[in-house]
Amino acid sequence: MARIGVFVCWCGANIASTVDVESVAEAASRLPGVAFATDYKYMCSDPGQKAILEAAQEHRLDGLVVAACSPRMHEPTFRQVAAEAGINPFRMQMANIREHCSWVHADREEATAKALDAIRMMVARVAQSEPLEPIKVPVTRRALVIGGGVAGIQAALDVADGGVETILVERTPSIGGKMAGLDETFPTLDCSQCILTPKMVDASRSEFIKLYTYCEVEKVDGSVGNFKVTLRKKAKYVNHELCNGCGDCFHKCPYKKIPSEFDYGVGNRTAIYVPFPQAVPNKPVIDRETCVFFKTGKCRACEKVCLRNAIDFEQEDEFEEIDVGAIIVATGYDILEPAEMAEFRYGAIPDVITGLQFERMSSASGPTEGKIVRPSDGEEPKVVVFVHCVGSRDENYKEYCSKICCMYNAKHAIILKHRIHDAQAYLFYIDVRAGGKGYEEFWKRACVEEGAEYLRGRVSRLYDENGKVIVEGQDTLSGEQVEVVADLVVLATAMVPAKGTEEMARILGVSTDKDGFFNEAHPKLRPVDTATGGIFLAGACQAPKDIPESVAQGSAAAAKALGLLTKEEITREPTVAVVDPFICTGCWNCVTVCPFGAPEKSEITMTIDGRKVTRPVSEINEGKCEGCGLCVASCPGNCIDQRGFSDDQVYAELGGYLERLRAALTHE
Amino acid sequence: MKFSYYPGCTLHSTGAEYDQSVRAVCHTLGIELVEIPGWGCCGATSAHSVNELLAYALPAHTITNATEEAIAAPCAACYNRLRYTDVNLRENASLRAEVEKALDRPYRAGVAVRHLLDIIANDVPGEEIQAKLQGTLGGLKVVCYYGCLLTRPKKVAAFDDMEEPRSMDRLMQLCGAEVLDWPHRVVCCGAAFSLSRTDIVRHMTGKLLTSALRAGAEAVVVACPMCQSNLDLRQPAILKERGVRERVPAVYFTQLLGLALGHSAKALGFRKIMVDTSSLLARVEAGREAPAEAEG
Amino acid sequence: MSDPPVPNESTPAPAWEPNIVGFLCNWCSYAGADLAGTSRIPYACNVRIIRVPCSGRVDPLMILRAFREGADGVLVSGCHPGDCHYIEGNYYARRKFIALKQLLDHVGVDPRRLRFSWVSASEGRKWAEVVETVTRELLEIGPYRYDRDGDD
Repeated sequence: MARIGVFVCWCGANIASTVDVESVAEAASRLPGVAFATDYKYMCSDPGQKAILEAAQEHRLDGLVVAACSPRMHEPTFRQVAAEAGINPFRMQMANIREHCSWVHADREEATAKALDAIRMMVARVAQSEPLEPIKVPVTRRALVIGGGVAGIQAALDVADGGVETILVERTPSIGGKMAGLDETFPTLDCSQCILTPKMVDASRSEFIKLYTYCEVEKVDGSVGNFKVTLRKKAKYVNHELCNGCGDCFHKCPYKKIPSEFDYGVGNRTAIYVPFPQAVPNKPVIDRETCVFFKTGKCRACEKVCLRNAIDFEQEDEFEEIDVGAIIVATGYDILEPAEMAEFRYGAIPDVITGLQFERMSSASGPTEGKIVRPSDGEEPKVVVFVHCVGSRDENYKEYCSKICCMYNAKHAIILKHRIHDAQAYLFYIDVRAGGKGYEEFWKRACVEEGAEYLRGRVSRLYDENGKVIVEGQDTLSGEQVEVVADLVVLATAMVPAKGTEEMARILGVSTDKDGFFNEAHPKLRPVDTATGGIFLAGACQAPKDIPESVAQGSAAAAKALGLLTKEEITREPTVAVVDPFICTGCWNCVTVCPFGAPEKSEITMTIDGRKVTRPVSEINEGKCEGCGLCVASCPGNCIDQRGFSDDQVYAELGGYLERLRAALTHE
Repeated sequence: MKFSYYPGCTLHSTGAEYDQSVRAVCHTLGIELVEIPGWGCCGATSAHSVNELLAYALPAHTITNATEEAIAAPCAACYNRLRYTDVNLRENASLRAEVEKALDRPYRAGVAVRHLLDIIANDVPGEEIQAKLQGTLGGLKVVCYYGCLLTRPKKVAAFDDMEEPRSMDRLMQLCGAEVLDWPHRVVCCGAAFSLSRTDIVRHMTGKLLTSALRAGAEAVVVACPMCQSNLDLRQPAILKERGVRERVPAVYFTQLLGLALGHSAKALGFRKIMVDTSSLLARVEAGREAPAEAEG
Repeated sequence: MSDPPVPNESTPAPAWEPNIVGFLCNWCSYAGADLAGTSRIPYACNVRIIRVPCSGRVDPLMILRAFREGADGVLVSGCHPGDCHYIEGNYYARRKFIALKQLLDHVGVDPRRLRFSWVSASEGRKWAEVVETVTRELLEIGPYRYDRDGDD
């Protein structure tokens, strides 16, 4: 008979006010297999833990049931206590009598009965629990960072700083991300490129960082500590080993009117191009979609002019498989296509632009060399309307706040005033959200010192009239409808997950939230982890973030990755599936259902009636098994069980409850 | 196709020509309309600013009286109130209980509330309409005006894009009109203030009229009797105030569709439109004489 | 504490309360039930929760065992389609339970006694609603013994 100790927590009044903890502990002490039961005010506190340790010794306990809060809260705590008490941590179970009981039921009698049932179930489960030892897996000391924006760059630099080899993958021809295209940054107005480009160069020079630009993640296998990643290195049609970045090729490219992705269409690029002058690497790629040679088979102007013979039209996409121990996802954001919101007539009226287009115009190295102009006629705008919350905080589009727009709109208003002194900015806003160091002061400056006119209300519609953009909106503070005759309208459109995020989530096997951003493991306490071990998040791929936050999360993800990669081996939960090879018939049903490729086709040789027989059986790769139990429930021969969630344990838990029901029935 | 027909107060009074043209067009298209027995006012814009329960109870009464599976409402305001009521009563059991108490009978949930434009543009196949055309609108330049209640809010009225609806555009194109793009297709005309704040109405309707004229429209096509009366009755005064000489008649989509289907201007109630429609009718007449153009 | 039903009576005694077993996946539904707790959303006291790693871990035999040994209803709750922590375990679970429902009818268990629901970690309110609905429905259906002991 097991010797289980039951410890009922009051959680102050949280449990004790609804559940009669004393009578529950008393009843628990009479359950079969229970050697000792008690209650205490705070089981998780130091004295509470000590009480468990003492009782364990005194009563020679070999299993624990802690009836307290959710195991999602304190399971690690009490497993640790169990270990200290010399009890296998997997013979400790928590009965959730707070979240699932005292907090949701008001009737004391009902709640007490339910709490006792929960304990009864867990006692039965512990009695059936085998002691388990964590699985140890060696770690590949290499990190992969996906996305070369500021968050990814920071993460790569920090991992590299820890002396761990890092592979930084970026799908566009240059690292730098959205930040590389920004003008000045809030709230200090320092130039974005001046602070970012040194980091970009550092990343390219670091002996620990391998930069893969124009490259995408194709496939991810394996699990924490040992991922196998397939990269698709897209054909650049330029041999970067030979190329010295002189630029002759793109100056000669006859096809010059391709809207530049980097400039959001404000400027143009050539078919062979470097996205921006400070690009890293500063070597061109040929865009197959727009190159005349690929369309017609004629031209080769770049090839003719290249003195180093670096142009290579024969190049093809290459695949490379790499082994890494940790993955940092920093795939960033895009903006909601404003054309989807018809009321703003983006696309129909040329002088309606997005905030990012405004950045490219006001950037000194941008296509207009810092001159803010109307796209329709190149004239200097005198009245500019900035619209906040375009598609954000709007039940028809995105319900969430995009967080950065209040500040960059204020910044744009200030920049406008600096560049065009007699210009007037109007800003339509819902609320100004300026939580951040120096942020409140910054928008106040826009408002008070720089004369930006803030109108509290939404814009209902834009239309063009005689070369102007009429902005209709409301000013809820005066209660009036307002109409601004503008020269230029700048839309602060919602931040959305970068294109391809959904696909990336599928490849990585991590989840996304209702808005498509990557899900963190815990919104408060594990904001950098994903639910999948070894995969971490950085930057705006998780939620709208500004630069300092993205950088901070990049560093945080690096710290997490280093924590993992500086270990020789890691321990994994032993709650994996196990095949009984003696009854397995090798039907491969488990191989079919497993999403992680853990069951592997194997063979067993055994002696039956003196004859040696070799037959196919399934074998679980413990390094890959995530412990979902799908194969266990799907095995037609019942040959697979799961450690820590064995059939016996589940039936015991179920039985703990059903026996009580049966007893009640018989009692009648 | 058989629908419970809810003309609403307006179609029995200032919008009689809408009623006439609706019945004519539906007859031709094989849409049977059965007027809802004992229908009442929908409450329009007034009821919900006075008494919430009343604002739900009035449309609930009419919906419950419907004899068919679906209601066809030609007035955008009626349509909106009925939809609004239906959506909320389906979602909110306690509200429904309250309304049922006021009605003194159970609410008839499950009746589809449809706007007539939705039915004609989306249920009747385009080829079927095309086959019945007796001519074309001869490239008449029109702007389609949906008004603010027909497609909004999204949750309530969802048969077309909330901000850039196109169903009427498609229907008018089918009839051989040249549909012009303009930014004011769903902008409010100010009807709620028709009597109380005419200055607001003049301002809002004025914007619509000048925008339509700027686009080069020969007619503003509407699907709401409130919009129509503002755009039509107030037009001379508004445009005079703005120093604009041109005029642009506001006609119902059923009137233009009716012309294309071969009904006479008289049968479609064109006489009831205050702004001169003679040049419009002449254009259409010319189109009718050359039906071949429509097919090209 | 819920009273057992009085046997051999055509209608359940008024004090009867259904006994329900809930299999909840660790990542979504168990966390959703936790959230109902932290949000203090009250709901009926009839469900006893068993935590499983994934709804796909639930063997149909577990459900049958629950019915055989006295449960009046079984609720299996997992992550929303597409949100499974283990990618697709919940799809397998769903398919399995659709088949099981048909079998239940065959073996004399009212299939309405088995409910499958999607509750995410952020849907504390939904969890409470699911429990309320399941409990209410089972109150209407009555104790499982009547399926078993009833004529034919």
